[in-house]
Amino acid sequence: MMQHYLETELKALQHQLLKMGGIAETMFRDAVQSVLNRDEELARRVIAVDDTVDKLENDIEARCIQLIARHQPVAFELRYLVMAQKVNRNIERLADKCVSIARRSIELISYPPMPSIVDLPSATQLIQEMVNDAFDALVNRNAELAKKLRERDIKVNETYQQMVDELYLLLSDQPQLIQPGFSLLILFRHLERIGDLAANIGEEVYYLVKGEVIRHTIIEQ
Amino acid sequence: MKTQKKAPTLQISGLNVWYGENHILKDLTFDVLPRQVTAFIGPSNSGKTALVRCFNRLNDFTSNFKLTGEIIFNSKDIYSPKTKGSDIAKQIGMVFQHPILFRKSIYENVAYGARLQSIRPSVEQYTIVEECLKKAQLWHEVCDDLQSSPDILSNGQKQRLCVARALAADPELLIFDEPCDQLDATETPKLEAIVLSLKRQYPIIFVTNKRRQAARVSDVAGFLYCGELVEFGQTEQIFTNPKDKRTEDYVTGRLG
Amino acid sequence: MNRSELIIQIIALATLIIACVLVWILTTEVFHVEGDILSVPMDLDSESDLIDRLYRMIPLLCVAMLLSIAFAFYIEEWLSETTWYYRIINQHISILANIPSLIYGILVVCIFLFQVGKFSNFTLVLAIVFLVVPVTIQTTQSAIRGVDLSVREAAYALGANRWQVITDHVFPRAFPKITGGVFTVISRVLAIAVLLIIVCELRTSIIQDVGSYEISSNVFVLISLALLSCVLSSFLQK
Ligand SMILES: Nc1ncnc2c1ncn2[C@@H]1O[C@H](COP(=O)(O)OP(=O)(O)O)[C@@H](O)[C@H]1O
Ligand SMILES: [Mg+2]
Repeated sequence: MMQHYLETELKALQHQLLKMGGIAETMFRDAVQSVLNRDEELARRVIAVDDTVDKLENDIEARCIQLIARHQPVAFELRYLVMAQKVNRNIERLADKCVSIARRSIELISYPPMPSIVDLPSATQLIQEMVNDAFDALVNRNAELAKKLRERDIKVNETYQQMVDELYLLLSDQPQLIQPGFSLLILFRHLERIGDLAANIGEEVYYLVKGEVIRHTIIEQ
Repeated sequence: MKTQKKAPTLQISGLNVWYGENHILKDLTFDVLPRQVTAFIGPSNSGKTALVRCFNRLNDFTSNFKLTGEIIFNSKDIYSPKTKGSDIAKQIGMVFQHPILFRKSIYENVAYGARLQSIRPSVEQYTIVEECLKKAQLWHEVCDDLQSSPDILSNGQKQRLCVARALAADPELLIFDEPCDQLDATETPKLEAIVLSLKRQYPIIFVTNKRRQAARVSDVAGFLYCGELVEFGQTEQIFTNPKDKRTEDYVTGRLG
Repeated sequence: MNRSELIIQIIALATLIIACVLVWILTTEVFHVEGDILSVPMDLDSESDLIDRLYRMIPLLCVAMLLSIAFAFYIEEWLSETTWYYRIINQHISILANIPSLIYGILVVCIFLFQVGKFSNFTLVLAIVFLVVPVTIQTTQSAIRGVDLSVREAAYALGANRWQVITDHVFPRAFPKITGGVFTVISRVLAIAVLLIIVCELRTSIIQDVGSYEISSNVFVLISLALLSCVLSSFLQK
């Protein structure tokens, strides 16, 4: 019966986590859209939403501490609360990255449009899916899906490297684009970091389900 | 979370208690609010039982009991000369450390609480008994043996029967004095679940010497040590960030 | 044993002695007066008259026992254990209850033998009261004390008043022990009755043989010693 009580508490906690995750996902989509469509208003909206995420992060943190203090959970419940705290932190950082992307987007809008050198939409699509799947894995406690995220992150890293190389070529050709080019470079970097964060969430979900820490372990392919 | 202004059920100010020469409780001041579980923790002999027995005037039967200070219960002074002890006890239900049952059938044990409220055997009384047994989450276990003696029950069931009996007297405050002391690991969570389900209807005072239990069930907690209320505050605060060194030592298990 | 306890016991003993002296004076001096209703002389020739009287004592016996039980409830439930009168009453009861029933019997016989023909109803009543009341009170008291305190507390905590606690819980739980006490008392009374009947039978022959009979002082000394040791035992048992 008591377990039942903690279970309802954990459900409420998960609900809050997913709400925060949902907001972060939307922020990401909007930030990317603002870059692709040069939509400054959308970018500003993304920046404004961040406060909500920060507040949610504090709430969830307090809730986790409260549940640990009160119930001194063990086994799955302990793993869940440990995971929730880390996922919480990762989502908050993800939201921060989205804000950074939005800021870069506003900068880029102030310059004339760059020639589209890289396939930004398909690269962001990849990351978007990773973020989506990270939350899916959490909801469905899907360890396999969670573990795969690490492999997909490697793909993202490769794409990032490619994009940086292409940008390098472009800037060597047209040095006058150096200013927006730098903004774009930083933007790529943020995108790549978002992929990392999604992979981190996957690692935490894997820990939740399997009780095994896979961070810093070698990915077998 | 909506924070409505709630009138306190109990207001204790400057409470001092002596048993003969022993100063058992030293200058306690706190409020007990409705819709909350207020826990008292502390090592044994710290005065927890002495404290809760002041509220329903059970201490009146202890020889050499002396009390100063004020206890206001639903805006009545419990110890004013005009107040009758049994009237106060009628409004406060208590579950003791040991399950204490009367030599009556299971049904009669619960009905006794109702009888003291002048509810004679009737359909109404039966309804009350059923309802109280359901609230105490015992109905399904005993509904076929209502007329048998409570001796057939396990300790945990007996304790839940005591809860049902206290509920049948239609209390305005429930006191649990270390109710899980005699219970095993499977019965304890059941009792805790009952406490949590009852707190919406009754203000609850829960005495325990198990810190984890207090952490699980209570909203507000007080730490009693040698008759002193060392700290009284939100349970989370007591268990995550105690202000007093002794509380810290107690909740971490270094004291008592 | 502290000082206040000692004082209480001395007071108890003193009142008891005074009471005994009063009773003695009443039986020997006051009710000796002829025509007093209480000292209806017995027809000594018939043993059946004595038995008849003993039978008629049965209602009195019942009343005495019921009153003793009620009194025991009164002092246990209503008087606080710390008050001086509770302690004095308790002391009296324990001294009286400790006296062996044989001593009562001998006292009755003595009165009977001393005052030939004045073996009155009053003497019998007195004997029964002394024989029955203290023991009944004492056994009832211990039966009441034997009821678990927690049961009372549970009932009080539900809001029962003193009367409800007694009738619903204390009395039913103490009942077996109280009945046990009642049977002990009945056995004592029966033993005395047997003694009286035997003495009554013997007396006719004693009077015929000796004409009159003087009780030797040794008997008094022994009875006094027996009483003293009762008092001491009830003191030291505390
Ligand atoms: N009837 C009594 N007479 C005298 N002292 C008592 C009595 N009951 C309890 N005490 C003393 O009161 C103190 C508090 O006891 P209690 O309230 O039972 O502690 P807790 O319930 O915290 O274990 C203890 O030191 C105990 O020895
Ligand atoms: Mg206690």
